Amino acid sequence: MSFKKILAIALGIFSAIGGFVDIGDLVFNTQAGATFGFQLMWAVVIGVLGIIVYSEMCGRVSAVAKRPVFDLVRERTGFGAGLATLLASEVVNLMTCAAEVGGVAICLQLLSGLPYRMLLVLGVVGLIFSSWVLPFRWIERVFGYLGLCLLVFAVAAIKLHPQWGHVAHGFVPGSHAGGSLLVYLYFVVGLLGAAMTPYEVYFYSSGAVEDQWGPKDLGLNKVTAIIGYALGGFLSFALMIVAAMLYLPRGISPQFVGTPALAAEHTFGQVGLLLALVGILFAVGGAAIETSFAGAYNLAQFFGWRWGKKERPADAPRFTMSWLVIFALALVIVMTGYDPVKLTEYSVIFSVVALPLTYLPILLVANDRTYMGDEVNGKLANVFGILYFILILVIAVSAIPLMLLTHGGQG
Amino acid sequence: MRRTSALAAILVILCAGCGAPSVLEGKGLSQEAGTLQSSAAEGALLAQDVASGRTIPVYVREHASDLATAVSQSLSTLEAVQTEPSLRSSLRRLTNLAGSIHRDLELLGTADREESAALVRRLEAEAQAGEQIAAGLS
Repeated sequence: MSFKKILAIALGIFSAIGGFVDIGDLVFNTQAGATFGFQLMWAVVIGVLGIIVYSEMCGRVSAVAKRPVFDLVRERTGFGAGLATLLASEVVNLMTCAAEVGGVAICLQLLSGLPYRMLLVLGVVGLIFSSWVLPFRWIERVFGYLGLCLLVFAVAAIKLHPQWGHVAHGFVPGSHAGGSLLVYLYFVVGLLGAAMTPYEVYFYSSGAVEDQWGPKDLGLNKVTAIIGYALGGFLSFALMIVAAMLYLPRGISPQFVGTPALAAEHTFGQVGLLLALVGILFAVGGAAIETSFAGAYNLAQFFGWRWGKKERPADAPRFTMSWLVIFALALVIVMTGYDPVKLTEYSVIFSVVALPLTYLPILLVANDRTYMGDEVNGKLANVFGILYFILILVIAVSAIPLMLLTHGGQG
Repeated sequence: MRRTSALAAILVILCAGCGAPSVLEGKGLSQEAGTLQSSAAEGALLAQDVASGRTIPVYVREHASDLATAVSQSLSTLEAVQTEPSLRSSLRRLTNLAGSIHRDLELLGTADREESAALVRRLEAEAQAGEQIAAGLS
């Protein structure tokens, strides 16, 4: 393997790690750690494995069929089902984008002390500017690499000296202590939803087309999906461990974007705080761009418009207008003063409801020889794909009742 | 005619409900106590970092203000609600506690290291008081 290829793989993995955590992971992992300690580590493992399974399928479909997932969703499932999938995914994308934009403004406020609404506008202008001027690869890299500042939480998790035996015990699903069973189940659903958000697979799949992947890139797809997401999952573990060590014993229930940063500050002082805030800012900012693009990709692919970041905006005007409008609508939502953390909780839970509509077409297309030729799912991919689809159905049905019964995890 | 009467009855009930203070029972009070305990404990952790010079003033000001706002919302709720006679003393204690946590979190936003050391002790005591009230309610 050439040095250039190794470098490409390493860069892809680094940006996937830095880009893994979004505001949903930040909120749910910290709250889960503060409420149940290490007991929900297993849910993160299941969620990360799920996103690996389906992202690998999406990347493979894009590399072989040279078409992104949503393009095939309409063709494979028909107009009606495709439209339902489109509407559900656009609502979830918009809610998630609004939550991420709110997260960006809060981080900027914690760093600058300027008024929140002014920072909302500045933040959105900055995100639009970055999306407009940076090539696709550089958007991933800039936000992914600066998101790696979140590794401060991994170092903090080690420095807080948890009892590793107890941490390991959390990887085994079982009975829980502290909090009610319904709250425990609510967090299971939330953690799975945060790890398997639909926009991630739409963005990953369209990104593969933007990067002009072909059958020769199937190895790169596998390595990026497996190693990138798995290592990104370690950041989720780190957030949970840190919350379990610092917040659980003190009875702190994290309700603010600034609360995880407090853990880094308490462990490493000013440098830790700055790294945490910069990491959150870029991880959440990157996710805001991904959600707006995912929404525009879906619309363009469904209606057959010309699309892609590689196109000049004038050559793909409806695609460009779509992501601009998504940013504008997200700004309007958070300008109303709605709490981004609450919005995050709702967006994750509603994304869980939309998961089957996202993942079923992927599973169908990845098994269709018309599109995939010899690169259809193997036995292992199908076993995992089907098991995960059943799991997705179960959590999709239970998500909203659990949210209502537990008052959003409050008990 | 029957439909008009039903509509009028609903309007009367709604209008009566508008002016009446809402009632908070044991579970609701316990949740408010939990919020106060959590905010005070988080404030104490933040104050520890201020006291040891390990933080950045703008972060302290903004985060303490967020915590103070959450406590102020609890305070408004507690001041506006009524409860059953056996829980009235808990409601009174919680309202007083919310007031003092709110004051301390506002002070924390601009406190120097010495003042913060005192705030750590106060906020820790307030977190403990919140925990005790919550335990008494459950």
